[in-house]
Amino acid sequence: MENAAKPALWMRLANPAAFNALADKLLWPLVIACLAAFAYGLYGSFFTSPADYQQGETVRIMYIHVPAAWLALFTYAGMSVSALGTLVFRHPMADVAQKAAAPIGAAFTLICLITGSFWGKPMWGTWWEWDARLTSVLILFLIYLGIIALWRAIDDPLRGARAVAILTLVGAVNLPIIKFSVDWWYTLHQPASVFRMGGPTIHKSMLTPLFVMGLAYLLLYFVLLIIRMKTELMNRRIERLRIAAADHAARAGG
Amino acid sequence: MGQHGAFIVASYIATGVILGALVLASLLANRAAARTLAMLEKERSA
Repeated sequence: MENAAKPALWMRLANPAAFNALADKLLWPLVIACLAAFAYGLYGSFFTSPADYQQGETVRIMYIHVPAAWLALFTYAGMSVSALGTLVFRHPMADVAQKAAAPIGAAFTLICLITGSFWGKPMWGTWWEWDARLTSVLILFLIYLGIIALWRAIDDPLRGARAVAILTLVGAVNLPIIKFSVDWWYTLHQPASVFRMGGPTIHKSMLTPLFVMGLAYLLLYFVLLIIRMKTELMNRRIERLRIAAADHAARAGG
Repeated sequence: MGQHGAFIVASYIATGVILGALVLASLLANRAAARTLAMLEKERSA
């Protein structure tokens, strides 16, 4: 009995000091891996991958557009898990992670929309089309903005966390709609060509830089998530110290 | 980069600007919080 079972990592990370210690260990290796992945991915995107037989050189937009779409969905899926962590498990770091992730997800969604527009104009002849895929991604962007706004609107972090968690879980309905929109409705957007039954339809010479850019985006996501979570923890500590100082001053005055 | 080179360049620039702004904003917010926290901790211990 002298050797009590070590708590699981996710339980140990409930302690901000344990989270900060792990984050400090991981941050620089992640930064270096992220820069290396971007360097290799961008080199592959411009120099080793061929032009497409139909789209020509314009296909090079794919290497920044498609990974941005992956990360937009991945970030939201992670936020949905965090929302469950807040509502069901009451994990103290779940809402910190969720708050830190929302602007990152919004940025990736915005990149997806803008680069998609730059790709659509020469290929489809239009900057924008109200089809199912484009519209559902725009709705995802608006949900991200709504979540960020809700965090700012509620002062009490506990109440804010619960409200945001509920909104996040409601918004998660949009994820399968985005993924399957190209199958369920007639859209200008092409059907899935990487994550599909039967394997990717893209040649390896294009798939490799695409995956490397996806890895670079993913590593950047983790770097930014760590930095933003550390910032949020500091801001909460600042808030507590200010309240304690005000309380102390009020007692000294009264 | 062919006849659509401007669209390719614009896409990469837009991506760089958005990601650069996000990284910069995250770093500045982190620095500001660290500075404020250090100041408050110092006041508290004084």
